[in-house]
Order: sequence, then C-alpha cells, then structure tokens
Amino acid sequence: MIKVNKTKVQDTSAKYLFILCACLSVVAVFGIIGYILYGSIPAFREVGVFEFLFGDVWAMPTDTYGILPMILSTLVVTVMAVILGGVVGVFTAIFMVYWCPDKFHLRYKGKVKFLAKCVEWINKINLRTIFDQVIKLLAGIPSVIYGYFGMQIIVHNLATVDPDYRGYGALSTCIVLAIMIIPTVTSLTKNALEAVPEQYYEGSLAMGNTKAQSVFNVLVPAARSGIISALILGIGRAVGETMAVQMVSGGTANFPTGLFVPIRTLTTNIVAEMGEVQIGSLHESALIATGLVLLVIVLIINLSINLVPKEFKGKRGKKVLKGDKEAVIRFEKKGLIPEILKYFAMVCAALVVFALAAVILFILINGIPHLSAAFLFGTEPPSLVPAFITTGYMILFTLIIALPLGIGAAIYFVEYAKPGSKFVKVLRTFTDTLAGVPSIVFGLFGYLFFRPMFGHYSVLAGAFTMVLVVLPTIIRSTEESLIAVPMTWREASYGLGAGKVRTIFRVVLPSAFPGIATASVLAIGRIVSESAALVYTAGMVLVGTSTVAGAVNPVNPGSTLTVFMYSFFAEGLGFEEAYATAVVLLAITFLLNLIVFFIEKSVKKKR
Amino acid sequence: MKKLVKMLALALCLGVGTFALASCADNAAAPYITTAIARTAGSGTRSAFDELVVNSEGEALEDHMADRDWVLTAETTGQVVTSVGQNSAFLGYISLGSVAANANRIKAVKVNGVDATTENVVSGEYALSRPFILVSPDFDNLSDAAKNFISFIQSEQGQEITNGEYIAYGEPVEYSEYTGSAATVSLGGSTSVGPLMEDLAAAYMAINENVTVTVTGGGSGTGVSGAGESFDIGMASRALKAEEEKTREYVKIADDGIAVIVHKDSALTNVTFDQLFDLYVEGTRIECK
Repeated sequence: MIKVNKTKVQDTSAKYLFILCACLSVVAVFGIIGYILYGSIPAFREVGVFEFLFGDVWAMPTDTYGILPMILSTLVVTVMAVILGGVVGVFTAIFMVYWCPDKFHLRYKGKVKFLAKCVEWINKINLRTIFDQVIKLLAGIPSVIYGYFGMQIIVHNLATVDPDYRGYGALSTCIVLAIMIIPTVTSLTKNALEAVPEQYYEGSLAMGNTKAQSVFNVLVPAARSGIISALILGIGRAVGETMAVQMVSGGTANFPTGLFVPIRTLTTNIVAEMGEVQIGSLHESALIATGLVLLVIVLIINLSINLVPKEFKGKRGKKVLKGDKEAVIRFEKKGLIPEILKYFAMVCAALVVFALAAVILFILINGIPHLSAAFLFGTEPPSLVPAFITTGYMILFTLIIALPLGIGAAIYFVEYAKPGSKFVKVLRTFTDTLAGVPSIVFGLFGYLFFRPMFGHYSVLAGAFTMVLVVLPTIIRSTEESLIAVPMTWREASYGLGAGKVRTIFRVVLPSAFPGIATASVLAIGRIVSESAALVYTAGMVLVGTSTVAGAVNPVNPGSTLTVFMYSFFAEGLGFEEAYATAVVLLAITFLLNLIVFFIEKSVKKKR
Repeated sequence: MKKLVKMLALALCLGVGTFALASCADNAAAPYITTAIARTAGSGTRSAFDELVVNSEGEALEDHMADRDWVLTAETTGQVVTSVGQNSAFLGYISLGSVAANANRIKAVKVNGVDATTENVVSGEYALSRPFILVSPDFDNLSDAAKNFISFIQSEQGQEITNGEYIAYGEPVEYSEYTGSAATVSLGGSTSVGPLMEDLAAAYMAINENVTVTVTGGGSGTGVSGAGESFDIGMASRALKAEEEKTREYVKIADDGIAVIVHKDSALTNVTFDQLFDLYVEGTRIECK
C-alpha cells in the first residue's frame, strides 16, 4: 500500500495555487495588450501605421485618423507638469524629512486657563504626521474633483491673463497635473531620502558642512536613484491621467503651439469620443489604437525605471580626497546655494499645503450649502442612495475577487519564491507593469472584454475591471506585511511539526492581518475615486433615473459616487449636486486615510 | 520655527484669499466673442448644428469644420454650460430643452433675428432644430415592458411631459398600464435626449412600480449602434444615416431646438449664420452689442 503524505499533498497543491494567483498578473498584462492590439488592427490596416502615428488631422466624419497632435500634446503637457510638480514634490519631500519640525512650540503666558489648555494641546500635535496625511489626502482625492477645481478656479483665473480670454490649454492642464503628481513624487522621494544612512549626514557635519550643505550636497545626491524613480512614476501618472485633463485641456486636437491653445491628449481622445462611437466601426478601432499607443508609451516609461542605476559612483568625492584643487574649490563654492535652496524647499512645502487647502475649501464652500438629508438619504432622485449602493457593490465584488488573488500572489512571492530567480523577476515586472497601466486603458479593456460578458453596461463588468486596477496595490502591501512577520515564528511553527500551509494560514497570515486590512482600505480608496475605468464598463447612469430599484441589481448599469458626480456635471443639470457629492467623496477619502493611519499606528505600538 | 508657523498661516490665508478673489471676480463682460465651443464629433447636436449652419454663400459648416485654436471641444452638454457660464468670451450650442434649467449661468441668443423658443421651432421660423429618436434593431422584438414604455412616451400623458421643454411628435396613442411581471428596461445614448428621458422614466416608474427604467449616457453614436446590444432601446438626437437605416428602426418622439448660448451677462443678443460660420471656421471675433 502506498501511504500518501497528506501534508505534502496539501503543500504542493497549495504552492501551485499560489503560483497561479501570481501568474494572473502576467495573464492580465498579456490579455490587455493582446486584446487592445487585436482591436486596433483594423485601424492600422485601413489608416496605415505611419499615417495613424504621424497624421495631423483627426476627423471622425471623414474617417481621417492621425494622432500626432495628441502625442505631442501629451508629451509637452507631461514634461511641463513633471518639471513643475517634480520640483515642488522633491523639495517638499526634502523639507518634510530634514526641516519639518516635530511639534509647534507655542508659548502662552496669559492666565486664561482655556487658552493655556489649547496651546498645550496644539503643542502636542505631531506636525510630521500631519504633513504626511496632507500628502496622502492629496493622493486620495478623485481626479474628477481636481478637474472640477481646475475648470472653476485655474482655468477661470488664467482666462484673465490670456489675450483671447480663454484659459484652456497646456498651461491649465500642466498645473492641474502638477498638483496631481506631487503626492506620488513626494512620498517616494521621502522614502528614498529616509533610506540614506545616518552616517552620511553625520560624516558631512563632521567635515564642517552646515545642515543645508549636507542635505543638498551629500544626502540628496545619495538618494538620486530613488528620486529619479519617483519622477519616472510621476511621469507615468501624468501621461495616464484622464478625467481631470479632459475637463481643463480644451479638448480640440491642435498642436500645442502656445500655452493657451486648446489641446487634446491621448487619454482624453479616448474618453471624449468613446461615447459617440459606433460599435464595430473604424472610429472605434482608431480609438482603441490610441489606447495602444498610450499603453506602449506608459510601458516604456515604467520599464525605464529598471534602467535607473541603483547606485551612482561619485567621482567628485574621490577627486576631493586626492587633493584635486579645482574640485575642492568647486566644492567650497557651493556653500551659499544650499542655504537658498533650504528656503525654496520651505516655499514648496507651503505651496503644497496651499494647494490642498485651496482644493478642499473650494469643495466645502460650494458643496456644504447644498447638502441635505433628502439628497443624502432620500429615495427620490436626485439622491445619493443608489450611488452608495453601487459603490458598496463595487467594493464588495472587487474585493471578493481581488483579495484572495492578491493575497495568494503575495504569499507566493514571500513564502515560496526563491529570491533572485528569473521567474520571480518576470512575475514582479508584470505586477509592476500592471500597476502603471492608466485607468482609461483598463476601461477600454473592460469595455472590450467584460462588458460583452453581461451584454450591456453592468456593475459586475465594472467590478471585474476594478479587480485588475487594485490587484497590484493589494499584492504590494500584503507582501510588505508578510515580510514583516519574523522568520523565527515560522521556524517555531515548523519545529512544532506544522506543515507549510498550516504555518502560513495559522501563524503568518493572522499576524499579517493589519497589513492586509491596510491593503483592503487602500483598494477601497482606489475604487471610490476611480472614474475613467468605470464610465464605459459600469456605465454612466443619468442622475434622474438613478433609482434604488435599479441599483439593487448588480447586473444593471450603475454609477459609483465619483461617476455620479461626473454625470451631474456632464448632463449640465445639477452643478450644486455635483459639489455636494464632492463633499461626500472628500469625507470618505478623509475617513479612509484616517483608518489606514490608525491601523498603522496600532501596528507600530505592538512592535 | 516661528517663521515656519507664519509661513503655513500665510499659505492658508492665501488659499482663502484666492477663493474670495475667484468667487468675486466674475469675468467682466468681454467685448468680443473670441472662442467657439463645439461638441465632440459624432454627437447628435454637433452633426445637426454643422449641417444646419449654412453661410450666405451656401457653404455648410460641416464641410469646413476642423480643429482650430479658437475652437474648444466639449464632451458633454454640461461642459459647454460650465465653460460658457464662466466666460463671456465664449459661445456654444446646447439642446434648447436644457437652457431653462441653467438660466442662472447662460442665456440663449436670437439666431438670424429669431428667438429660440419652442413656438418658433414649431412654426419653422427658428432654423436650428433636430429630431429626438428612439432606436432599436427591431421594435417588435422588444420586451413587453419596453414596448409599454414606448407607448407611454407616445401617450397623451407622455407628450404632456415632453411638451414642457420640447415639441412632442405625432398623435397621442392609447396607453394602458403594464401588467406583466417585474422587468427592467435599459436605454442609452444621446446626452441631449437624457434629461427628457429622465423625466419620462420618473413619471413612468411612478405609475408602473413593477418596471425599472435605467438610462445611461454616452452619445448618439452609441445610442444607434448599441441599441439591442448595450441597452434595449437607443436614444439619438439626430436622424438616422442611410447606412444605419439598413440595420436599425427608429421612432421619432420629439423635436428639439438647438440654442446658441452665451454668458448670461453678455451684451450679445443676436447672431447670424454668417457670423457663426466665420467664428467656427475662421475664428472671426463677434462684437458683443
């Protein structure tokens, strides 16, 4: 008789299950590229690849499709946004890490007890944490809100400067994009700076440098590769941004010959014309081909991160050490600039706070007067209840599918994969690639693949699309929390005779629970703020027919809160309601950030 | 440290200040219309407008319309209203039925000296109008609930709702309430037809609790091609093209004017087709008087 080792069978089958989860991102990336490539073949065949890429007229009535103006607009706007947002973002991070004070040091000498208490309380606030939260909040605000803000405030004010009283164009787009990429750049730069060894700083001080000199001449250069990666991710975000750009760019496919010439980017071309498309026409194929070009650009940008060298070998230091006089003089001359840069960093940080304050105030001032119980909880349209239901469904279905897959993949990466193996490297590259795909491309894929599965726009089709969107986030943060579980715990479990699967499910996962919870909350945040991926998968239900009866069936089309806000605006019937919805969205974003903050805090306390 | 607190405080003040500025400094009425707003190509409103605006030399806008520096392209009606509503140098066009709801931002101007009213559309004096149609591959194949909804639209009750802002088409038909089992009817397409369809759907659902009507946006293009596929019934704000008529049937439900709109404080009261043509094609400014 053959004795089957039950544990072994369990272990092997579980292993393959986890590999399967991890491979899903490969399948997804290939699926997306393959499907979009397949969809764009008619356009390339009829129009010609060269004419499509370098043609300068896009006119649907005559079936002429050339996207050169859009490619150029995308590039120009992105470069401008990254210069503006990148500089502000990097310097804000420098400020946060090196100069942001821990606490207020207010003094109060009067005798009013209440005021003294207040001052004491204010002094207790941890400023760094607050600043951190400011950045996270900026990152969590839905892009539709940025678009609204850009249209009403930035475009409106730029129009007074524009000789043609217009305001729409490359400048407005670049400012909005800059605000949107600052959080990405800042938080990644911050991580890079914090990873620089303490000794560098101490050594530099010991050499007689001032603090500013040490920071700008030693520490920032040491974090170069991280900062460059942060900027590249910022570029990726700027290229892929859709809804906000659509609202402030002007929408006409001109060459970007001036700051105030209305332009159209690749992403906005898709979102603007997809609604007017005839299914199966050359027009549809040309739009899908636009998506393919966009996808290729983004993939190149994201893969170029791998080319950034991990360490830069400085030659200057060696020269100084060898006593090269010129190098020494050049080094000494750099004394004053860092002191000036220090103040620049402070100004940048103030700008970021200013931007957040402006966006939030704009929404609150315009939105709060229009909030009412009937609007929030009423059953007669227009009310938010159907949108709440759809958002709830969207979160539920997305997480039910994405969490097991994401956690499975993370378990494979941490518990099973041999570090450094080629297979893992490939898997990881694909996961990162998936994270960089613009949401409008996910939307396009969902439109081609998931929507036909249900025959029409449907909340479920939207949820399937969102699974792809949130999967990388879940994998990443689950992975981090699994790595944080001490190796000794696993060893102890093995020592007691538990198999690998048992160890993972009984020991590792429970202790990684807070990390997984954080991952879920982050995913929820992404689902709540998403719009571009949902408009053509879950549909954009007109606000007047958005009823509870329609929303309870997830096979029906449905609008999440963000899409709902967009449709108020799109129909031109309820600007006030759009603002009120934005207030609700802001509140949710704030709440989700708060939850993540407390989960992380409780984890830190335990360790 | 103190500097820092001051700086943060300053930033906050600046934020509040900008707001005060932005909300007070409403664009003083610009002397010219410099910028024209078009809708996305393929939109029903756009194709109707481009076809109907013909200059004195007999050239239609549709043969000359191209992407230009002075033309903004809006994806939706709302975008046109927002842009025009905050800038008196802009001119755009939207469904006549959507003008009244936005009277606090925009106003419709006369076209060729004729007021944009439903009466003038009916009499044919107002030159810019187009039909609202429902589209399906085969109307006989629709579910009972969908058929019932269409007959509600064509009934006296439905036409009364339509006539509020639009002009109902055809003689009213007999209508009886839906008696079948619970059902869903989905519509999609033109955002211009959307507001009307929302009102109709709300009234219909009030008397037929068994039926859920959902209306999704998009555009006339999807309205025609997605009918029977993405949704049961398509909506379009233009007539079917010859090639579309091979595979699609349609039912006309209403006529709608296209209003040319400007900022509510603009001094402009009248535009001629020549002015519109030159603005969209050549970028010739229109003096506001």
